[in-house]
Amino acid sequence: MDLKVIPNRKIYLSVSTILVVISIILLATMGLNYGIDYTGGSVIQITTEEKILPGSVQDNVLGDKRVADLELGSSSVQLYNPGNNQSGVLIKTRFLEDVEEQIILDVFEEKIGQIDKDQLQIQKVGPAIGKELLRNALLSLIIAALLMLVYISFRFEFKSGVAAVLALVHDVLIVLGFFALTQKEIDGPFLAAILTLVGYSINDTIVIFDKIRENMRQRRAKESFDDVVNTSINQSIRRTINTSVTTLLAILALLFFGGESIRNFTIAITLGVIAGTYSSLFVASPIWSIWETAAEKKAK
Amino acid sequence: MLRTENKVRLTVVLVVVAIAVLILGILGYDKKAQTYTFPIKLGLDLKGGVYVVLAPTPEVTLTGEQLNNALRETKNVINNRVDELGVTEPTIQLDLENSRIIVQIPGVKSPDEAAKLIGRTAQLFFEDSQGNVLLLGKDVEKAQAGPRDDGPGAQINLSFTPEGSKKFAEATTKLVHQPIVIRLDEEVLLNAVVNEPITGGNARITGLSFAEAKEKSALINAGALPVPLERIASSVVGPTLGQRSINQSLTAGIIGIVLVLLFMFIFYGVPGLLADLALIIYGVILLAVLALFRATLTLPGIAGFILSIGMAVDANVIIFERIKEEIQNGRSVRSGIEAGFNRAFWAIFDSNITTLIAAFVLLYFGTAQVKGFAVTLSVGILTSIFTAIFVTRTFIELMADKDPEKIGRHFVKRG
Repeated sequence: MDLKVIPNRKIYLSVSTILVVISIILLATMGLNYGIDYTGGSVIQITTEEKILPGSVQDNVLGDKRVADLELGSSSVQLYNPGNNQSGVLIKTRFLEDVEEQIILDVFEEKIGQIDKDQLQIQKVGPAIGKELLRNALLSLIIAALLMLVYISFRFEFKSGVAAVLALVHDVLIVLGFFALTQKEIDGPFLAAILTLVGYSINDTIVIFDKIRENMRQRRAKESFDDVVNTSINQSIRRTINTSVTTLLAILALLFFGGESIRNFTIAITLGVIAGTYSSLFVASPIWSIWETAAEKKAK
Repeated sequence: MLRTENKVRLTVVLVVVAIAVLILGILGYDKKAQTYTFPIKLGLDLKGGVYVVLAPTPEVTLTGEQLNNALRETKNVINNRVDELGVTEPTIQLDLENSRIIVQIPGVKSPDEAAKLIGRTAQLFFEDSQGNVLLLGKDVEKAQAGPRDDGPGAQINLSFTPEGSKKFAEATTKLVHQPIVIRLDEEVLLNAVVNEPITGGNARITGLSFAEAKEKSALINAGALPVPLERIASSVVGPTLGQRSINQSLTAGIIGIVLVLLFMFIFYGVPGLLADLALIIYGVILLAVLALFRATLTLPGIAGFILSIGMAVDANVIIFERIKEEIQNGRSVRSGIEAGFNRAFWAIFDSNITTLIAAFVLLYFGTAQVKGFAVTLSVGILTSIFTAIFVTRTFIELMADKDPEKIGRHFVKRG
């Protein structure tokens, strides 16, 4: 294979820059749709034998005087299909007290139908805990990125560490941008997905950096750093793609068959793996080569 | 000719696998039911159950050691309540740093009711025999166990608030030689007979063992000085809902694993099959380690397990590509295999360390559910370094010992 990654690096870096800028704009304008893990609130997941018509939960349950008196504010109702000829509904509201929760369940049973208690799921997160989680999420991302910067700088060199972390930021921003665009919910396990892709994206980058490190040792006198990097990318491209494919096979199986509750988690990882593979080849190495070449020129 | 070195390696692999299988067998054996069960503890999201985080309500003004003591007492009350539910593996943790009590009860039958029962603040009542309420918990200042003043045994010393003293004086004047019942919610704690009117604001209850006196006074204090708790977070999962999650992730897992195994075989032939075998060993070891550490498997944890299968073969992909390269560059099969493994080692090591960094950060900052994922991921990474490098290498070298050209063709043909 002979990809001209380094000669064409301006194109690749421009594509990435545009994607990152779009993601930042989306994040700034649309924002993320945080789940109750971060905002606080209650989610009641009800399964029933009755058929639920669209709108009927809003009208008959939330619209019922007893429930309306609770002043729930903006609540959301989402129907889903739990299989077994049952109907399912997710009611998302502000943080509910036990009494308030019971009122909703009672009204539901009265107006819609018997609740399958074995499949009832109620999650409540107080606003204080939510804030704490968001702070921890941001903190852990920053700490993880810093630790990786230190490790790569130690094992390779500082410039490559910065390049790898920039590629990482690129991957995370693109995934976040996608979640801003689609307004898919950011739930608790989302942090796990982001940190996993942070670890994974660096994986691919390191395999290429390792090749560059090795080729640099046998660098011929007239060979430029750019040439070494381009050769290294071409030598590693098969393994980079194949390692991503094996991971994608596992994660796609989860995406299609793993069920609703971890769908957002798997979407984030799938996108992250794709972005990570791209950035290892077309972002991290080009950044390192630009910086290193500039440094070499200066040294002369 | 099989080299001795490789025979030793193979023995190590077989011993490790045997130990892993043994661990799974022993831990999975349920003595009571005399059957085999899945040896890893399932989380609430898979088994169904309750997870409740309780914290003092904003009105609570206690701080420092006072608050800690009150929380310890409160935890005891919750312990009793949970015991009444008759469940097998409840955990009740006291997080003094954040002033929280965390209760987890897997597999409880009606999780929603359990959650409400746990969070309920106990109310203490003093009643006469007709059930008329004489005093409430707020009237009691303190209950303390001590040795009996006038004989062997123990007693509970009760002191009342000024208002409580007045009420208690009134009640005891009226009820001389009649019983007073002290009740914590529905539960009768004590049944005492009034000997004489008590007007000084201090009472004692006798006729108890020391242990009893201590326990009851703690309960009275919990009702009297209740740290009123509120649920700041909770998760209630119905039992069948968890079962569905298990089924779904099992399907996804099997499909994902089969796809990965097929990919390796199609792309790398016999060496791919050997990597597949190593991958299956990886799965067995990982399960055994998780079972041994008593890790709890959560839904994201299963996702982490499946994901780690895809990542575990990455090391083999890197090694195989490397071996191909070495052989194409003119090395013999034997030395190509050796160089491939040796040179790929640092790339694999460095890349796995960075993923471990991410997993450790998650372990430190994540919620309970996410921690389960991080544990699976970390153990998975460490195990995969062993299986992808040591186990696969053993298999491939053994093949090379037998017929280097045969295994060599697989590395050259497909390139």
